Amino acid sequence: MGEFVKINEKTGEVKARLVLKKNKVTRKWRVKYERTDKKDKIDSRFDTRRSPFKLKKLHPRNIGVIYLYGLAWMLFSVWVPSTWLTWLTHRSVLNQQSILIVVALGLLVPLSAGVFDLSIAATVSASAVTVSWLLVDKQWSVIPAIAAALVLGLVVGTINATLIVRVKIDSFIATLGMSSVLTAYSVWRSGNRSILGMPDSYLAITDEFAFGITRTVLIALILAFILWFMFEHTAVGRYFFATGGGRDAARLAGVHTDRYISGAMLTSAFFSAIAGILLASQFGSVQAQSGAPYLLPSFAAAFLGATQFKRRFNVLGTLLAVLVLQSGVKGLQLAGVSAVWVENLFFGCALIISVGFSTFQKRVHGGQRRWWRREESGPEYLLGRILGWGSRKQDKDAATKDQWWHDPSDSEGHHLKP
Amino acid sequence: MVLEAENLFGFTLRGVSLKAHAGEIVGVAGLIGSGREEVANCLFGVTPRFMGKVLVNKKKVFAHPHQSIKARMALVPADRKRIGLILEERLEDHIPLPRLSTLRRGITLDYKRLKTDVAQWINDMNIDPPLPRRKMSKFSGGNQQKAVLARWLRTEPEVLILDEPTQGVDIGSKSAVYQRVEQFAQEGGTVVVASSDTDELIRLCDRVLIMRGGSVACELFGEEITASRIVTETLGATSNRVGARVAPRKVSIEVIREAPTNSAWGNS
Repeated sequence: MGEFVKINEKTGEVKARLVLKKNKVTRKWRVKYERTDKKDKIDSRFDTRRSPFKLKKLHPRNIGVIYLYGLAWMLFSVWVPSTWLTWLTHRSVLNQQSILIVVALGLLVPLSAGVFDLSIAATVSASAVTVSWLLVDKQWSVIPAIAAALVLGLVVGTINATLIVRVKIDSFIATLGMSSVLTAYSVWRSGNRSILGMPDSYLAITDEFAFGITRTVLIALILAFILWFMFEHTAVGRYFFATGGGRDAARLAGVHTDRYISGAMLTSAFFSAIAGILLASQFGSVQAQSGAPYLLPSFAAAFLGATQFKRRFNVLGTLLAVLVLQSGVKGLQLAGVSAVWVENLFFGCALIISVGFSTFQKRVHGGQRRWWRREESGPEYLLGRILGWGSRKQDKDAATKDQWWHDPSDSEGHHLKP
Repeated sequence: MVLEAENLFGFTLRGVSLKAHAGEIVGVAGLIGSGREEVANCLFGVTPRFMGKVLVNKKKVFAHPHQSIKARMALVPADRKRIGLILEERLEDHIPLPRLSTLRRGITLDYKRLKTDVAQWINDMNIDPPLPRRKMSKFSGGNQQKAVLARWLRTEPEVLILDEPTQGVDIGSKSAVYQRVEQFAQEGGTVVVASSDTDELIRLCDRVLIMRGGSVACELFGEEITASRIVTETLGATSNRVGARVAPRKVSIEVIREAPTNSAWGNS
């Protein structure tokens, strides 16, 4: 027996004993020394200690976009400091992407009402083509031309809404078909060539207004504020989210789901029409495919934004998602990675990763408990243990103290949680 | 007469008529396919009504849940997971959704009042754990049902329609639901309970309507409401029996509360 134990030389106590144990990973029997002072660990499922993250709002899963932005700043400040650290770079990101912001904001409404709108990009092109054709070929003045483009957006929204609500076509199919029809319209209207030579009064819509920022940014921010107010502070926002959560359940709770879905389609088409007008004014030349590159980025921004701040589609998350993704693309371009595919790759990855994060969940009944399946082996717990962030449930914690299962003598938190 | 339904036709309903007084609990029993599953939804306007009308306080109610809520009806549906609640929403979003307009101040929502209102209902219905920001999918079946009941009692209804109120509900919550429904009826509300659970009907109801073939076949009062009677009537096994009443009998509201004059069936 003597050679099978380890003895503490100072005190003479048995420190460790040789035992036969089964390795939990390889499932092989091994002879191992086991410390005698080691307490039996109870299953961590019954551990009532808190998560080591005290501030859940700062968790990367909640505000990961901001961490990503910080990372981009650090990276590009070192990589291309001469260009990255100038106001010109960032304001050009803002100016270029405010159209995308308008489109993505419009998309938020149908997504939160549980329907897809794939016709946004085609509506952008159609509206841009319409307004430029009226201005250049028909010599209309600015305000009637803009009004005509907005009416076009409303007509598209009405048709979409009718197809989805009345004819009851799946929103995906209906808007896909609508998108194709609109593309046909834009190609026909523009004669498949660029429309140039819009009047200066029209181009002046998107002039600079302060600090090198154009009015497009201002319009995008105003629209964002209106939507934010609607979603977060009015009953209408609640009804939209209820409709998106379950159409039948919302209907039973007294929500006019058909009206809200129609309203969502109208809003997204209207916002796309605004984006088309801004696009024609900002670029000065319009083709039939001008709006096409806005489809995927707006979906990516909306879905990435949905994983941030709240577990649902929200305006602030979308704004930041656009800003961060486009800053990343811009930084890479400045660093000399000037390939055309960078932007597509970036947004595609962002869409997949964000949706993956929001839908992936650990299995509840996940086979046997192994160390890698345990909650306390996860990255945030490990980090918390290293930095000593965790705090045990204290007696002073009011919520715990009053619970019937609370045991003040149990410092490890090993009592059974109900 | 608070609730009246006349000659309702639906997917499986073939001319259902029923009346319910204030303070009365009316049960609806029947086999699957007899129209018992559809009665509650059809009364509330969830499923379409092809014919007939529903009157609350002698006013016609159109077949849309919004109209029903306006007319102070409330429905606790049978299919909780699909139409009773949204699994992804939080408890604090779930409870105030019907008649959310009562919590408005100007065009914005009054969050302070909303919060206290939700906390009060959680406390009132004893929802456990009392966490307003918890997702509905994480609550147990009983607590989900309590939350659904709380949501509808919050609308201050005059007519409460319950469809399978204790399906997938644990025993503790079951008795809590029964107590709350009985309290609601004592305070002068009208309750319609459609259920496949005979014991539930015996415990709750003053009057039970038996459905067969899509319409009301017979009506049981007071001491007639026994398990064997309900089962035989739902199966339609009593039509030739001596002393069994097939046609409904006219009875005033006073009689329902007292012991009926002729006792159990078969004595006469």
